Amino acid sequence: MRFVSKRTERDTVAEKSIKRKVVFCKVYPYFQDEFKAHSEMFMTYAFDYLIAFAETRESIRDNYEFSILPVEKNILDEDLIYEVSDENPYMVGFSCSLLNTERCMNIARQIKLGMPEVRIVAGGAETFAAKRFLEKYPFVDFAVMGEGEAAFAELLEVLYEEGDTRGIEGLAFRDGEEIVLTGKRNPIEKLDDIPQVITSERVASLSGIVPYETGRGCSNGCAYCLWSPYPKRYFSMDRIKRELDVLMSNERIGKIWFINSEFDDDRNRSKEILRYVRDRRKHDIRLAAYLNFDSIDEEMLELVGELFFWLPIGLQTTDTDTLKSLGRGWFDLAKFEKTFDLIMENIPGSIINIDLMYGLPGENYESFIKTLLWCIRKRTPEINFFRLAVYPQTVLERKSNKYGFVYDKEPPYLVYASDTFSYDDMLKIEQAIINYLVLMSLYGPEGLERIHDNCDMKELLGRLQECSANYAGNFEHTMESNIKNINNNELRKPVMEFIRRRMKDEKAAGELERFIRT
Amino acid sequence: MKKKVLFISFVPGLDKHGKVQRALAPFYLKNYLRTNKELADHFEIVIRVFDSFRNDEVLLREIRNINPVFIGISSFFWTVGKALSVSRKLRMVMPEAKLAVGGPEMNEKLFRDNEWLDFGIRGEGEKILEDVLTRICRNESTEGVGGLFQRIGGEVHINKEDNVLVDLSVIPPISELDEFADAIRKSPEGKFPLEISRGCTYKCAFCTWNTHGVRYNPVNVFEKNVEFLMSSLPVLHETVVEFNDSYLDIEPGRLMPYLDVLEKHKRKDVVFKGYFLFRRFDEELVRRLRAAQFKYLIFGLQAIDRTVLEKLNRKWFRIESIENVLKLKHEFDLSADMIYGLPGDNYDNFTDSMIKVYDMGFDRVNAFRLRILPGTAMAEDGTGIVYDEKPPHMVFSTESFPFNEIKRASMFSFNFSVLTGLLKRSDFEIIQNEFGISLKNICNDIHEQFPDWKKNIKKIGEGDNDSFVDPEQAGILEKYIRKNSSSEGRYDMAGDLLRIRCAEKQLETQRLRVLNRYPGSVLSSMEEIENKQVFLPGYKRVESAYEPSGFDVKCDCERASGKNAYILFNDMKNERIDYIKPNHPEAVEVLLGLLLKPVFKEELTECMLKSVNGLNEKQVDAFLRMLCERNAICFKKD
Repeated sequence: MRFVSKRTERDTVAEKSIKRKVVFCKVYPYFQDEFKAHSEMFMTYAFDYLIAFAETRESIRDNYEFSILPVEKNILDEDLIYEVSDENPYMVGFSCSLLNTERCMNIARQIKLGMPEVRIVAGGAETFAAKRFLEKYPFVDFAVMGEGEAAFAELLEVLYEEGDTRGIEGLAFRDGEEIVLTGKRNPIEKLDDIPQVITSERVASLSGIVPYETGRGCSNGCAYCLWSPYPKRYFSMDRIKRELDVLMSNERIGKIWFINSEFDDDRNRSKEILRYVRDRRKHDIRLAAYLNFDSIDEEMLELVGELFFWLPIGLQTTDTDTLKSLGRGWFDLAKFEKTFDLIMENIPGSIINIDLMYGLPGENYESFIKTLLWCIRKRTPEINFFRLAVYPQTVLERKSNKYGFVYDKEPPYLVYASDTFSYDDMLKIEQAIINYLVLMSLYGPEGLERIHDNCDMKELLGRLQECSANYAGNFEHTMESNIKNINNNELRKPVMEFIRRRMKDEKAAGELERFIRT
Repeated sequence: MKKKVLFISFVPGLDKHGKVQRALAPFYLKNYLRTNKELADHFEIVIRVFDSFRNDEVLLREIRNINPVFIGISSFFWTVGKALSVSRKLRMVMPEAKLAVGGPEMNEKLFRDNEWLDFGIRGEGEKILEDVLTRICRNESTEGVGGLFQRIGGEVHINKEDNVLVDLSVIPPISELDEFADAIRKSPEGKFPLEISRGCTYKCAFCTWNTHGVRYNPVNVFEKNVEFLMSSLPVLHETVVEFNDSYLDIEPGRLMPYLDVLEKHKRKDVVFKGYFLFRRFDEELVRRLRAAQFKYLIFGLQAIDRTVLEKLNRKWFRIESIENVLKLKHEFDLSADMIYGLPGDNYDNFTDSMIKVYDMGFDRVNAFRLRILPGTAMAEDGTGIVYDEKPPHMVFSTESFPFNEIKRASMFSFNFSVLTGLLKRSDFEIIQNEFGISLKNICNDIHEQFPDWKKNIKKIGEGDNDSFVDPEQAGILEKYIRKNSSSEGRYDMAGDLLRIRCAEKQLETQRLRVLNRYPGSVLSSMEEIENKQVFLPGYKRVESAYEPSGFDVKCDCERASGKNAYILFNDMKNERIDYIKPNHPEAVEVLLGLLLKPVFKEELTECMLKSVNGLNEKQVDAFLRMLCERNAICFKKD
């Protein structure tokens, strides 16, 4: 398959007289209900950034036009292909994240079958491993690696001039049977070079929770993440304030989630932003962000307490060796614990949410339970559990043999076993998580702490499912370890009875009743 | 303790609709394998039917808990992706279990490409699985098992020998398998497709049904299944039971005893549907079909052009042979299936064929895009055919049918399906006579001239054959006629027709819903209204109105004019509309407001009496009686 189709002179003249159409397909996963929020969060502005940056160049403005087609669950792929064809595109672009890749590529394949002359370009987290990506999807012509704005703009220019795409850094493409990688591109240094995409027109259709980034990159160096190779950069404060004004002027936007890896890695900047929101908001707009706990001081605590609706904390694990394996050796648990206590004392508990990962290098059932018990002792209001995924091009992927990982080479790249845990151990961990979620649903964090103090919580987490023959019939499994619609009314009796038999003193058991939520 | 063998089937949306009858393969397999004593002594066969929308990890956990030594997953083009992704993960989490994927999707390439599979079983699996499992339980090599694709020591072995059950009499009635009976009874429809025979004598190039000829189930086995089916079906106004057979009348003589069984066990509310050929018109067959309560006869024409038929290896087919059948259209529902994107065909030829078949008198003509299915002659020798090797295996172009024309054919089929699904033949005649615009004209380009056309039409399911049409589309049809007609006239008439038919379709849907909820009731009887068992029709948006004092009805076919509201009666028998002029247009407004939702007669009466001066209860009663009995449609012009 040629990467650029053969064109006649007449075609070239015809093409030059009208603008070439680039169509971006904003593809939601097939099973959108489960993942819609996730997808929305990470795809909201991807194409806007690409278009805005490309259109800073006159040659692109003069010769290309762009459109974005939203591909919802209810649109049949077959109809979408026709819709794309109606646009008579020169190029079709996809942003492939973990969950939408399958659908993106189903659509791309069919576009190529029906319209072989159309160039297919892909970007997103999946194309970090660009060579593998092009090998796997022979109908994709170009893969843009990493942050795509500059490489994509250059690609359009070079294609128009019929120049050599080898000169474009951060690109993979085909030359006959060969796949060419052009080499690493440094990310855009000054983020303000990308024109503002948060405009009144753009956000008019948004509502509810809206993602927003004040900077890019991360310095944490976590082995499982693709964010780390990029240095930290920030949009200018003026621009951020302008954009926040736009977001805050839309009353239908109730919440803004700062999707930076760590919102407060520059303490002064982050506080300035929060103060700005506090002072300028006209309606009760609320915020969420991952914070670096090292930098939390009194003022930050106040701001967070006043403004945040959600405070996620990426703890992942408390096991020191595992943290080192994850490239998070810098994480100081003792210091974190102090800050966590401070937060718990000063901020309404319900907004705090800890992220824990399981299936980590060197981890086993015991070490996972240890982390979980730490969270229970701390009365953590909510925990989000994630099974480890070995993403392409991460440090973890390079070291996967070292840890003996058995993992899926297809998205979402979940791990199933390693040198230190079997798949059955993994299921045991997930059963413990389910049991924890049931207990949380029934007793809340305070009740759970009480149970922890009065009986063997570890045993309870491992065996709670034995409390009733129809235990699993009282909730719905959604994903790996996630459950929903827990039927507290049906579970309260058998669970209470199961716990009561294990509690050290009868009085404590009686007191536990008052924590029960129905 | 017996080792476990697990058979899995996937059904999209199972958790919501519970249609377990769409996943019968595991039941059929177990039903046969249980007849083998050696296997029954050695293995416990477990069946799981999963919703294919469920998360893989949740399924893996359940499968791991069953802990089978052998896992067989059936795959169709709508589930093969799920079958492969689950089996790939099973290989990681249960490396010791033997993994087999079967069903129509299995082919040599698929097996080679998915290296984690131990076995590939193509087509009918009963015999192949019996052989494989027998070898496994005897600790013998599976090498040489006919019809089996397998990996031995990492090397792929492809065996394409025939290995199907020639004599279907060795299979016990599926209804006697406890798991099957339970699953069907628990499913909301209590239904499963019947099967008289397997296979087909015709070797159509797009089909794989012809591999092993036609084999018949014994009549006594069929009868047991029919008896079970009739006992499991909930009582509804009408239940349609479909037959799985390729063509039921390949050998009309052999069909008769099965029709006798259907007649013997018939239930008033159960009718049958199946594919027929009618290569020779047979009065006796028609009589017996009628007696057996066959209602829906489908004719898989696919194409009618001789050149195209030849390429499909269907040159035996003569369109003339079914002309006699169309005389039966007043007692059977007759539909025809056509395919677009066929080699040798093109857009113009295809659309001409669609119109010709419709003009022959079929109640419906359904069009499907060609799929190049694995193992078919077209897949083996698809010269010049560009198609997707991945499911659902759509064709993208052929030498005669470029992609752009396939796209147009798809839109034509969609428009055709929407319009013929709503408007009657007589409506098209009116449009043609009044404005010189044909059905073909409209289907060709209404979506191009008015891109909003598709906006309010919601497709139901994959393909182009069912849809929900918002009555607002009528305005677009009006504009289309206005733009394209050279003759002067009431352009809005075409829009009116579409509005009426949209409302009529909703009325019918509503009627069936009510009748299925209250089986045996007669919607148009006043008694039912009094018993509060009737919902009056609800329209999403109704631009029409009934005449409240409608007992003074004159069906004079005279079209109301100007701004007057008027009443339209569906004269269903004669497929035409009658009009009358209203006396109380203000009552129409009240009625319209109430008709937006299902409403009981008492509420309607009360509201009208309060709102409209000069009406009395008797008048309203009479009006409602008329409304129900005449299936009238309200209409009002601003």
